[in-house]
Amino acid sequence: MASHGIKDRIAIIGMGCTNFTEHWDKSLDDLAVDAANQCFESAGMTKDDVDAYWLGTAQGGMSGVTLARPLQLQGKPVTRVENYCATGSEALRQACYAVASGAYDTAMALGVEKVKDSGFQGLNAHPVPNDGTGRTLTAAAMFSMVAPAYGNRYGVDKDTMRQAMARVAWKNHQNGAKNSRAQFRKAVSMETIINSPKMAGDLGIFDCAGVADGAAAAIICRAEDAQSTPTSPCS
Amino acid sequence: MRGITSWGSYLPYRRLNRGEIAKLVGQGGGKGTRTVAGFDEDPTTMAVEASRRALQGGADPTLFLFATTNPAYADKTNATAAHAALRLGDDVPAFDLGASTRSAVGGLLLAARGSGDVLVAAADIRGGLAGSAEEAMGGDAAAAIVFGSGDVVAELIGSASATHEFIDRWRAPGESRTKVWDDKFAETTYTKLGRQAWAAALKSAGCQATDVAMVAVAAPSTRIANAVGSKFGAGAVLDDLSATVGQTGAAQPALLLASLLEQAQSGQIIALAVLADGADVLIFKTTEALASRDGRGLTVAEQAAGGAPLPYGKYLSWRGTITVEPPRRPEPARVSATAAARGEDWKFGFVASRDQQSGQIHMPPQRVSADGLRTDAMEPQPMSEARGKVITYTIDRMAYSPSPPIVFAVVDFDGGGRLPIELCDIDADEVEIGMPVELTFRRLFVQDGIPNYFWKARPVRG
Amino acid sequence: MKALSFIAGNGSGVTDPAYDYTTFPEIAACAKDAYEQAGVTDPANQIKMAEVHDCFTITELVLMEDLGFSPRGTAWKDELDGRFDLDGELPVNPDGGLKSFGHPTGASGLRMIYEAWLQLRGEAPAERQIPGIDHEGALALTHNLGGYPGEMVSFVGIFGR
Repeated sequence: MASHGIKDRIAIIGMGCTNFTEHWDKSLDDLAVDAANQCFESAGMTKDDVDAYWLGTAQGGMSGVTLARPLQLQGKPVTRVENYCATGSEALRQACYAVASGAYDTAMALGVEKVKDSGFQGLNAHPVPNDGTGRTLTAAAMFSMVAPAYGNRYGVDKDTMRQAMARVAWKNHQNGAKNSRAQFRKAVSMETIINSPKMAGDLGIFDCAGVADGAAAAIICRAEDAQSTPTSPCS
Repeated sequence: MRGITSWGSYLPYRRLNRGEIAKLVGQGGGKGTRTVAGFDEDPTTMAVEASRRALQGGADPTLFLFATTNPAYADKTNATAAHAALRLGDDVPAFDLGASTRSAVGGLLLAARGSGDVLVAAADIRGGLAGSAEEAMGGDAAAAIVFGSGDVVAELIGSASATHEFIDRWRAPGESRTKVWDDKFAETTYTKLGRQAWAAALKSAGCQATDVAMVAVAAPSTRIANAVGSKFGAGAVLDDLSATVGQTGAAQPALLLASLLEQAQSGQIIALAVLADGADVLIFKTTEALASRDGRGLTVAEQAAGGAPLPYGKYLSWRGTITVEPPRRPEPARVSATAAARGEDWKFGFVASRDQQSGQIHMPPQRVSADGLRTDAMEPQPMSEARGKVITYTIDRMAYSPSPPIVFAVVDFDGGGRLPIELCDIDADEVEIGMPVELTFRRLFVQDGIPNYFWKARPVRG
Repeated sequence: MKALSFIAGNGSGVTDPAYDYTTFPEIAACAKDAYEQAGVTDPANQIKMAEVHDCFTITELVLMEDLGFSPRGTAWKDELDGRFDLDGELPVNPDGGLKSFGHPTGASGLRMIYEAWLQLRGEAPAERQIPGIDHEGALALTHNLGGYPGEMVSFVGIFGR
């Protein structure tokens, strides 16, 4: 089995990223347009300059039309990809291979999700008709099962596990507080994290990722072409 | 010789303390406890549990009959779901008996007088309006009896019936409330019918009342059971379990018969009298084989002494009397009939696949082995009787469940195989790594009128 | 772009008793592939920042081991010691991670890359710019997963200037 990679053959020449938050006033289309326009500006390009598009959305819509319509792309190859929660990375990966192959000179990967229109907490999968024997647990519950197994295997007691997990949340909230695009921009104390209401197993509400809408995009080209492409600094 | 060859009983894990009822609704209740079927149980699943125990001795039924007054489906047969869970052969017919208590004793009579090995299962969930006598005095249970010709533990030596149309109780299909007429009318009528059938049954058995060591009387109420039973003149009247279990409707005849067998000695004459829209009396003589027969799982008495309390509020929500706010998550979709039909062996029978070369057990069954090397080189591996241990676990407080939170574990089975599976009959703080568990057939949820049957794991208890 | 690796698990963790729920094998395999693509031999020292899929706190803890940042069974100590803090030895989720950003499924992977892009170009706001990362040869890693323990997909990307 080979996995050669494409080291140093592709460069990112522009990026865009919306705020991630509960965008009650923005649709999936709005978020896609905002991220794309930031990205075009960052790369100093127009939508017509970009040869091909990859849209990553898990449940935001089917097919490339989900991006071609809001951006009004004219005659462009637009592909929608989905690969669970790694969908955004997958869009970039496909775009990179297409450009590295020489099929296109430039491509955009854009990831977008409108999560907060469901009325429910958390992510909700579209059920495929099934025999009813599959699990219906939340992701929090599935991941929470790692904690007792890890503690048990490495002899880390429950309190220490609790501290270590809280430290992750504490750190990431500290960092998020320094980021204007983040959904939560407040530091949270260890005590608050540890005493937060339990969602699943030992995972409290502060052990779980937030639930937000957002979009981000990148434009890529072959590395040897990157120097000749004008770039402007991001905000 | 034809008679009973095996039996099994099932009492659900939860108990409602009758004293709690009046505290909440200001009326009803009484002394003692009643059994309560889990939110994830229905008569079909309970019948499976009792039947699994009855079949542990290796009985291989050629006919399956199922009785309940609360069938999960109308129009569609319920016995077929139990048939699938029990992995009875395609050539074994499975029939529902009509939705009345008397159908249950009808099943026993048909089996006793029929041919081949007949499995009769009866199960019921009894309730009524909050604060009613039916709610307090009812109970939930299942029992299964196998009739056949080989290895008989109790031979049927006589039987008789007295049939009469009168309205002592009634319930319209789809309603939860059973209404009753004047108790004295029922008692007077059943006393007359009971004596009539009793005398005829004794005659057919060629014995006297005093020859009968013990009689069990299944009746709509303990009062009627005692009033009629005391007039039979048998050696003893069996406790009808009203203090701990309650009146279990269609399950009562087979449940009392199981209890009778568990208390009888070899060579005794014992009798079952069922008072329901008439009277039916079955007289048995136990054989030497009874003494050597181990109980099929726990005895009725052992199960009646076990269990764990359930708050009355939870009971009311489980029975749909009160509606509790569910987690704010989407409800599951209804089961796909075609997908369920394709997966019948897995969904109902809990049959995994076993890689013939590596021996690895695949749950659910797969065509390609987990090592990726072989296709269609598996054999069926029944797993429903396997036991396992909890490897890790969680309590999901957010996911949809008819009774949150979900207690869930990854279970590794003794002898191979792993499945992440929901636990039942357990409180959230009881689960721990290493806990031994066994499998039980349950109803995960009902959507669009379709019960979603599958298996859960429960702690192995005493 | 130094590496793009993706692996889809076969779901065997939920059916095979060999899996013990203390690691995500798909991610360990994906990281190994990514490091080979990028020529990284000592990730704990060569990677200067990482954006990882902290869908839950326990996930980030285990990821530190699967990505080769901490030896097995020790990530909990490294987290408590502040090794992955913004001013630590190997800053993880300098932008705040899924924890602070929420997780709009399709966008998260590109959001992670966006932070790597800002940091490598020295364009992150001063209060969270990692010192010494905006130079030739510095490497940033993004890790994005989907699915559940025992049955997941994993992406690892490595980016540099």
